[in-house]
Amino acid sequence: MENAWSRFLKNKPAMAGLFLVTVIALAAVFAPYITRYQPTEQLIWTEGSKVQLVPPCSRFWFGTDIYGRDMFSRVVYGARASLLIGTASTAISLLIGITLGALAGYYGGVVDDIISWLANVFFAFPFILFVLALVAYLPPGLPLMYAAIGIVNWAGVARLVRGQVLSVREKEYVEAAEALGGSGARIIIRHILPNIMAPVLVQATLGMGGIIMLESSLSFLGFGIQPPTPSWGYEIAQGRQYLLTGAWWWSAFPGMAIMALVMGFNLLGDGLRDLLDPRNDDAYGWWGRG
Amino acid sequence: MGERILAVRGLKTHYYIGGRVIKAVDGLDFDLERGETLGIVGESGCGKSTAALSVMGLISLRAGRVVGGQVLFKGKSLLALPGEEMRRIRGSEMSMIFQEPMTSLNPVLTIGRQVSEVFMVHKGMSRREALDEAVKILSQVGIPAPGQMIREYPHRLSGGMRQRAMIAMAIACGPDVLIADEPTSELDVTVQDQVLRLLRELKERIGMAMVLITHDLGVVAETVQNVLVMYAGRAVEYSDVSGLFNEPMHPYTKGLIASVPGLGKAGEKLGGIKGEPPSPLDLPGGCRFHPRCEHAREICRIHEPELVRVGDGRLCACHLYNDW
Repeated sequence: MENAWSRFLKNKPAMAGLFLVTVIALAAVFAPYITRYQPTEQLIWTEGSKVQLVPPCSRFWFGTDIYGRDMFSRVVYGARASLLIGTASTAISLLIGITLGALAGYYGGVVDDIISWLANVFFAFPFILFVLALVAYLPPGLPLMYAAIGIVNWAGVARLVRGQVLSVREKEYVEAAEALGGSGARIIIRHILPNIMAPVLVQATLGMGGIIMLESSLSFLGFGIQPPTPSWGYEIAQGRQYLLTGAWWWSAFPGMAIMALVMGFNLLGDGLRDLLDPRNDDAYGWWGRG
Repeated sequence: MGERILAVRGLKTHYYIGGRVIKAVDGLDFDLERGETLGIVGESGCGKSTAALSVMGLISLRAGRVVGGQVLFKGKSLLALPGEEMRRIRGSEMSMIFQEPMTSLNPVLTIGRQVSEVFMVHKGMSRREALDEAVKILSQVGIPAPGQMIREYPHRLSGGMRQRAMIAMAIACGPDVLIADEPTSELDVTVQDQVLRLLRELKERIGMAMVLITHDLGVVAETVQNVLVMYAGRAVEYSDVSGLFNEPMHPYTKGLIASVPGLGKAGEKLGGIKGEPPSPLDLPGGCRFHPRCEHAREICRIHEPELVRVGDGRLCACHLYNDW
């Protein structure tokens, strides 16, 4: 345990990733305590046009938008949407992906054929168009976003899990568990899954970045989070019109936030991959002694 | 003659790899009586392990299929049993231990969890009760400080201790038949001896029958009552252990025994069997051993010899004895 941790602590990019993700997550959780204004509070109603498009200053760290809303507050609250969708969609894709991938890998045959075929169909589908179609057709809302993104992402997880299960299934301890009368479900859940969680964790972490990008893109196009709820992608789209007139902060800060969070997850995922690499002698220990 | 508990008749298990058929077990017969210890010996690849897995109903996992024959356990035909019933027999009435104690325990689960699982699966115990039972059974197989051991992960145990933990899991429900597939091949000689002694003790205490699969004739000599010699997927000789060593009948058995140092006469040059065992993809016609047999005659190339009675309780599949 100490070994794995100290190796992780020495991995500077991974620590930077962990730092970025932690800071943004903390900001999202404690948003009401670190912001001065509500994200939807339009100060022009009380203070008039002098609070429109104010550049970054000591009162408005990230400036204000055309409605006199504090951009710092909107960026901080926007993290909530991104992280919520990131985790919820990842959870859904893991649930579907692990279940189907494990069934395909363990039982093989027709079960495998059907699930692999389905996964390939999802792979062949244009990612963003599929979500766009779903989101455009059904009434917009957060749960729909989780589900749509999660459903699109399961195939990658399923493919990874299937491959891992295929290799672990051939291990003698799985055969031994079968020889002792364990049922299929018990063997998958208790003997196989704990042995393949490391790569799944890495994939899930790396996938978070992609999902956050996807959510931002959808919101940018107007199919994601619906205003006035703050969302980074939507802010970029709104501020875009004012970029050339000099009000760069409206789009720039949400853009930097997306970059920071996505980069954070990617660095963290890479770090975890190094840490859990089976070629590192302690890879099992990290899980085994958890 | 005691009560017959396990009977295998004409068992055929084939693997299908890349469109080719590998006849790993091809017409195997043997019987096991209650409380008997039967050794199955033969070279690597002769189908010993496949036969064991077939009896346990574990073949479907490995791209293979039992294509013929019967396995009768307490009069029930195992091959015809639905999967769920077979699963209930495995690990409770009939158990198996494997060759590599290093790899047959799950690296990410504690010993306690793995051993207690058997009680939870077959006896419907709660986790707490099962853990108590696990401690008891671990002490029965000679694991010191079992109360601590249940919290350890397999990599903290020596090979011998791991094999003891495996044995504990296999005998936890007091099986009638234990199949041990090369249980000591991976262990140091001294540890081998301890594990074999433990198996003999447990066999007496539980009154189970044991099938000991090995390529080590030394292990056979000191552990089993009867021996089945396999060659290329079939039985070629069956005998009690002293008969086999004192008066081997099949030319293959003679070759095997002559190739073990110390079992023949001292100072004698070690014998052996020339040639290689045949590929299971391309078995020779007639007697499968004839290309390597110095007594081979015309008939050996044409007709496959049957396993026939050649003496007091002994069976041999060789034309040499058919004619006499």
